[in-house]
Amino acid sequence: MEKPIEQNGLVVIAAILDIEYKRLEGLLEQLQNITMINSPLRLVKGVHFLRFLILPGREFSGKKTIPNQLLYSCSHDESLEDHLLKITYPPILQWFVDIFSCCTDFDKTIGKKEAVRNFIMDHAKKTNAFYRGHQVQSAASIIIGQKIYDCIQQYLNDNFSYDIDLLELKDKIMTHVKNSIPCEEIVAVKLPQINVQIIRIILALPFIVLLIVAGFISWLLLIGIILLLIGLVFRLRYLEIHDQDQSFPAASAFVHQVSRTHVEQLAVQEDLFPQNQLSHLVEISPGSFRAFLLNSVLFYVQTLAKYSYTMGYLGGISSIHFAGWTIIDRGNRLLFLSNFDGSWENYLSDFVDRAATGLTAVWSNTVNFPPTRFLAIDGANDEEKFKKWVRKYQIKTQVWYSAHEQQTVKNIWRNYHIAVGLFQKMDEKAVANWFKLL
Amino acid sequence: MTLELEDIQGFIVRSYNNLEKACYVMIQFTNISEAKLFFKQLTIEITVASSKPTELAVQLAFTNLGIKKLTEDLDIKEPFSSEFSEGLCDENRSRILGDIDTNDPSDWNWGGPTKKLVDAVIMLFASTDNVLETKYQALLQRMAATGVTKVIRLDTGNTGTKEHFGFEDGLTNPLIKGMKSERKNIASTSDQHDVIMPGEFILGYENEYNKLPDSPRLLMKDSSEIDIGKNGTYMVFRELQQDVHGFWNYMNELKQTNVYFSNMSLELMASKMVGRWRNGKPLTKTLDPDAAIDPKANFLYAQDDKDGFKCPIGAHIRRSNPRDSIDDDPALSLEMTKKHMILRRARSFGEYLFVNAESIDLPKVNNDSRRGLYFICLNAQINRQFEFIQNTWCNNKKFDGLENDVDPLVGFPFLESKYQLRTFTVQDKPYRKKTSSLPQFVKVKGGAYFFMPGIRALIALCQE
Repeated sequence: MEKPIEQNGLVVIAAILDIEYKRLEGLLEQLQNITMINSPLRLVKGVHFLRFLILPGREFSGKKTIPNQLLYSCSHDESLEDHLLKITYPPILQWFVDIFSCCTDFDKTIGKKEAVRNFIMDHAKKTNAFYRGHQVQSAASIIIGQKIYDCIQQYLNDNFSYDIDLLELKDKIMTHVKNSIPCEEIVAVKLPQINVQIIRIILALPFIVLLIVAGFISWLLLIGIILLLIGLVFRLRYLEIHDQDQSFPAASAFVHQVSRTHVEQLAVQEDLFPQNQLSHLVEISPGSFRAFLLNSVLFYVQTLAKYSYTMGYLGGISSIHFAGWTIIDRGNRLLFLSNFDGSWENYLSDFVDRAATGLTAVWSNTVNFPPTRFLAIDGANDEEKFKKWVRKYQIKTQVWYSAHEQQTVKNIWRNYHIAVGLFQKMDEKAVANWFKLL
Repeated sequence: MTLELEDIQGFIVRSYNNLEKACYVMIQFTNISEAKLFFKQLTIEITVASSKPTELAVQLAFTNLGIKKLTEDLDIKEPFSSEFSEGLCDENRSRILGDIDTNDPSDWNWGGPTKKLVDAVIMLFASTDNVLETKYQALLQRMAATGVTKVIRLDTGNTGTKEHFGFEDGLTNPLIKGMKSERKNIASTSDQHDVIMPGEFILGYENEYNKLPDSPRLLMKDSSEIDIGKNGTYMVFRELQQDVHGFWNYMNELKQTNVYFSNMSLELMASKMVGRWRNGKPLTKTLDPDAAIDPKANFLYAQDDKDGFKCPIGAHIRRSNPRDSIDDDPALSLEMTKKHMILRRARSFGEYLFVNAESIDLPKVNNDSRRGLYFICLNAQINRQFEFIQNTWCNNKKFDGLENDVDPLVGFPFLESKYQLRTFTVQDKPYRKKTSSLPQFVKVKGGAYFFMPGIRALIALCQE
């Protein structure tokens, strides 16, 4: 067993210089256009997904309270240090220099490499909750995995071999693959996969201990803490009912109608590949209580993503490569970035059908979300309103790149099991199962 | 909540299989107040769900253009769904549905941007040709008097219960919860997953999320607000042209040229693509077409056919309704697929080539004439139901872990701008069979999205 490759997420946000805004838009458009054909971003090794986009600023009674900002985000293998080395590779470096120099704080007086490094280090944001759909594999091994799959498929197409022993056939395939593709033997890696219930118990433990200790010290303290908790629940219900009044003036779907041009702008960037992207930005509901709730829920999601949802399923959804929530703008807005398989409609339906509670718990702390009860009930269950809400706050992803845009999460795991199995000794039962993967 | 059967058009609850003759008259109107008179008169003739016609049934539905004309001086409080308002030929919609290249709306026989615009459809179902023609002629006269013109009349054919490739079609439909037919058809609890909440098909009732589907509302001239969607539904209508010779010739060619298929009968190959034998028996239930199995019997995949060794994962019926087979959680898969159901009401058109239903030797006649299926389905949310099935299940080359296949009958590789020969995988022991030369057997040659209103809503729409 090998140690898994560490896949990390990077989110960099910086204010855009007003005078450079148009130039930046042009640059991003240019980069996206060539990305569709033959992307220079392919030169950035160790990257799975990468995006640049403009986070629209916020105006409040004619005054800009949050400026327009540039977002650079990617998911990369190994450390940030390693990633920085890779993007400062000369043929790609100039793109980063050009784009970042449209922002405040980009130091043009020093060397390009150093300037890009400093810029990223200074503006990197901590992602609050982060899920990876296939953390066993590096970007390079995912690409090799597909090559092995294709190579085996071609071999089987060309060599009808229903009449030979499967173990023998597998050996032939292995030899063929070794001769055709330069690849090291791929070995299985072990990931933690702790039962969700156990995580819940562990997370609840401090509270239980607190209550017991309080009980020992004084029963008045215990009652006080319980009353406080009840008070918080009442506070939450008050906010939920109050929010609804504000957010849904006539409890009507009409306020949630999304403009056709907005949807069209987003839709032209979708379904270009089997993989798709979504960027979403929404205001967090005001008040420190909401901030506390949101942080707690994201901490919980992060814990599950790290220790339980490690094998390609995020709460039952098997189509997510990367997804992350980041609280930005000094706690004012919540950014959600994700890379997934299939259509938007498919993705959102999966959200509603398989993970409504978790999503509701996160997004119920943001504005105009469909009405909720007790943080996690209703909300995303109101399928039509939820989908309209997501569309409404979805923002354009100016540049999106994937290193393996043709492969779904399921494909990647299938290829992984094929590649690992290819070099393993197997008995008859195992080999029959291995052939099922083909 | 009880269904208001007197207000719901009958087509929503029955296919009128007893009325074998049918035609669909696409119409257009310019003088709105005269057209309103025409529709008002037609209202009393419309067959509602509470009656069981034995001679004639009449149904009426409008496109977004027709609705726009009828509501042009009214205040819209809640709009119609965006899929309906944008229409079937919207560019993004064409892309996700695969209505591009060989399916491009600009080549359609009707409904496309180059053809005369369709405002509404009158659907006639009759027991005999005579009844049908009499009604049609009477309608034409009344239309002429009110300035309503015919855009195209679509006649259905006579293939019985089979579609043109020779397979039994329309064997099962979801049952609407609360309908009498539901109670009659549910033999055991294992059939429960076929019973779907009425709000999936009829606006104004709770759907599978226990919510009322969004419904259009109008502010009338007397300042009353009307739920115009109540008891109505959205109807998807697509003309699908079938290349019957191409289909069976391909099976023959595959047998000759691909060693993996050389031991299979033509019928078995075709059945693997469909997921049923020609007599309708599901492959998952039996690999013997003569087995004593009811073609309409309910079945699931996860337990008996998880790997697709019987019914391939990419077979047409498995893609268009994967039942409990998505991912590794059969119960969740069933819950999920219930949210992507449609009521199918298709009828075929054109001459049937199978004179002898038992043989697949095709008569070499009339290969040039058009034949196919008027695919018609009813749903409350076109995006979550019809479009989801077409896009996410049929057109998705990565469906359920596949690599590069699309639905062998109705799939279009929508991510590519052109139709290129497709792959079809037959899961098998010791390992899969694969062909990568699948041509397009079915092309889209017409279509529109319609709204089929309830009777009260129709009366409101026709108010002066």
